[in-house]
Amino acid sequence: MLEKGKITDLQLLLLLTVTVLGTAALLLMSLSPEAAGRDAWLVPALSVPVIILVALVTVNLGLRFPNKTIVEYAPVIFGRHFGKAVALVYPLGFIYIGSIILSQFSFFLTTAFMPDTPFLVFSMVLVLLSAWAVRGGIEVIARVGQFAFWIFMASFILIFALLSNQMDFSKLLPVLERGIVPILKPMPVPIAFRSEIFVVLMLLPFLNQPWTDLPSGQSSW
Amino acid sequence: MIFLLILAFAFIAWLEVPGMIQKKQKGELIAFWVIWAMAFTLSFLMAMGVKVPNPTKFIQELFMPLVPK
Repeated sequence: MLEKGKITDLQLLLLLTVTVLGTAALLLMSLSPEAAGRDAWLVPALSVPVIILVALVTVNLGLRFPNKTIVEYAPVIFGRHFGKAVALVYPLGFIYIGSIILSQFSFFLTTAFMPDTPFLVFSMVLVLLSAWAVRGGIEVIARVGQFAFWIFMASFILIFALLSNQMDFSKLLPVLERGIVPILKPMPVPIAFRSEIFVVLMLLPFLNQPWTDLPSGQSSW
Repeated sequence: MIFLLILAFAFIAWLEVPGMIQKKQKGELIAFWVIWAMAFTLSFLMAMGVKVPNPTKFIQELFMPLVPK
């Protein structure tokens, strides 16, 4: 099924935010405190510059090949045979990441909300919903992302606001008690998590505005 | 269980394949059958109770040198 849908840049932004935050909010903060201890909050914060670097690489790659997805232009970059292999890795990677997110979601719901419901029920419901959305095309997915973003943000802000009177920021001191090394160690985890934005390589051709028509000075920063 | 599985996969094929044959999308058809066969094999083995190897182990070993311990 060839995709004909078009999405706006705002929809793409919200979709990416939901994609990354959805998994990161569940797992990210539980992974870094082991090594970094009190400075765990610095780990995601300091990984932001690296993520921006990843984002710049992906965007520039997209700018070089407008109206094509990574699967189509990988053979151009890597040569015919190796490129085909790289192009094959991406769909497999999406299947793999999808299965991880699926099990995360199901484990989260079974442990947090409905411990007596079988694991398979949540997985099947989510798979059916996803299949339905995929059949609807990219526009449906983008609109769901747009819709889900505000629910996500509202709950996020609500949780933050209701907990704000219990927050004691002096507990974060002293910063960098044991030096920078314990913070750098768990760094690959948030970087890998937020590098999920590479899905943009599959979505850029479906933007409705010809965003490659930027002035030449802006297109290659 | 296996009957339900075959029914579900037949339903998926019935949904997708006729449209692709009509539009003569050969590449899409091949991609569909490959992924369909992969999914069917894995679910069939799971339904039969066979232990399927987890690709996470392989990926973990691939990326372990990059993670400082």
